[in-house]
Amino acid sequence: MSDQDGRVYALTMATAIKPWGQLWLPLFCNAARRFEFITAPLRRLAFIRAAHWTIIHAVPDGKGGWQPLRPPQFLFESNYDVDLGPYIDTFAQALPWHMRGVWASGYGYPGVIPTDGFHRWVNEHRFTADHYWCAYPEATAKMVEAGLKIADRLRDFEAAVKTVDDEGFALEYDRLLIELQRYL
Amino acid sequence: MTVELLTLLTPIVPGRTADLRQTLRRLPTGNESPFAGVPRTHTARWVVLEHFGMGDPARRRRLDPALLLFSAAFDGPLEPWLEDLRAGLGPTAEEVWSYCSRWPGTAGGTAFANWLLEHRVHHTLPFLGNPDATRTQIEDGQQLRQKLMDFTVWAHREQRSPAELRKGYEQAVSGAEVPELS
Repeated sequence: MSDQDGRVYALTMATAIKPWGQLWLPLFCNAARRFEFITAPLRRLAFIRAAHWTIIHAVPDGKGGWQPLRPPQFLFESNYDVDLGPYIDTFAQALPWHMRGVWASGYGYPGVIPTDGFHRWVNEHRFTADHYWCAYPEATAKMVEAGLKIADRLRDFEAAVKTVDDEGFALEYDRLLIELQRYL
Repeated sequence: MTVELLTLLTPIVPGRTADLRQTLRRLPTGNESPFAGVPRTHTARWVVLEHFGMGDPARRRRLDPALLLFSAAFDGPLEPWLEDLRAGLGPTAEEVWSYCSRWPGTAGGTAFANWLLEHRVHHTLPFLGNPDATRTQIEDGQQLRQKLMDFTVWAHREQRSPAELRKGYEQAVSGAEVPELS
């Protein structure tokens, strides 16, 4: 039982949606899918590998059908790099209106700031994973990003140094290092 | 977008929830996890759900039947990955999902995939940090980053001639394996 594999954490939570949220959330989520500026701050935070929100209107009944869920639930699953406390605090400070947009229609939502109440609400609605796994558990999202940038740049570097002499190589290597130092 | 996300909710046979939970918690973790044998998979989880609305007694809803949530991020497309999942999990797929209702078994590949997809829930809002990077690209990137860091430390430990620098780079970064750099 663990919500952690190496440096990667899992969060699984579900909150009951108020009636107005059943109208609002699809609109908000649809806008976030269409307009990148809404999710851009999430990308800038750079500690989320993958996250998804799902409105659950019905669940399997065990007889081959689905039974309605009243009220519907908003299921959130995330894979991220920091412990839950800093994760919530960072979100609350950096993305307060996004947080309100996503969670305010949940029953019992206490507001984002101060974060104590929100933290408690998340803990009350979270499930602990019974099994969790990540393919590259020691690489943070920033390290993943850095590795991809380095791989890209090295392809160009190796093409550029194919035809130069050793002095030319040393010069290209210096340039490479200057460009990549923040990723090392 | 290369990376895809999947979430399934499968109904647990009544009375078997505790056994399933025990089975899941006994699975080896980390490199020994059964998911480690499933190619093209980035992350995966199994979570037993018995209630919704846990923190709010007035709205606490017991799920009947209880549900097994499975979700994963993987390199698409979906159908071949489901076959990878069946083959890669091996007996663990049977061991876990056989606690769920109407489980068809893993013998017929199509029945397994169809059963899983019957229980899929579609995400309202997905978000991926690196949606276009395959697992192999990410793992290769991590190896290259480490090799370049090791080489950089070596290169700056003492004065290297351009020829030494080139030879060191070719051995340490371009090579298939990082040699011992003195």
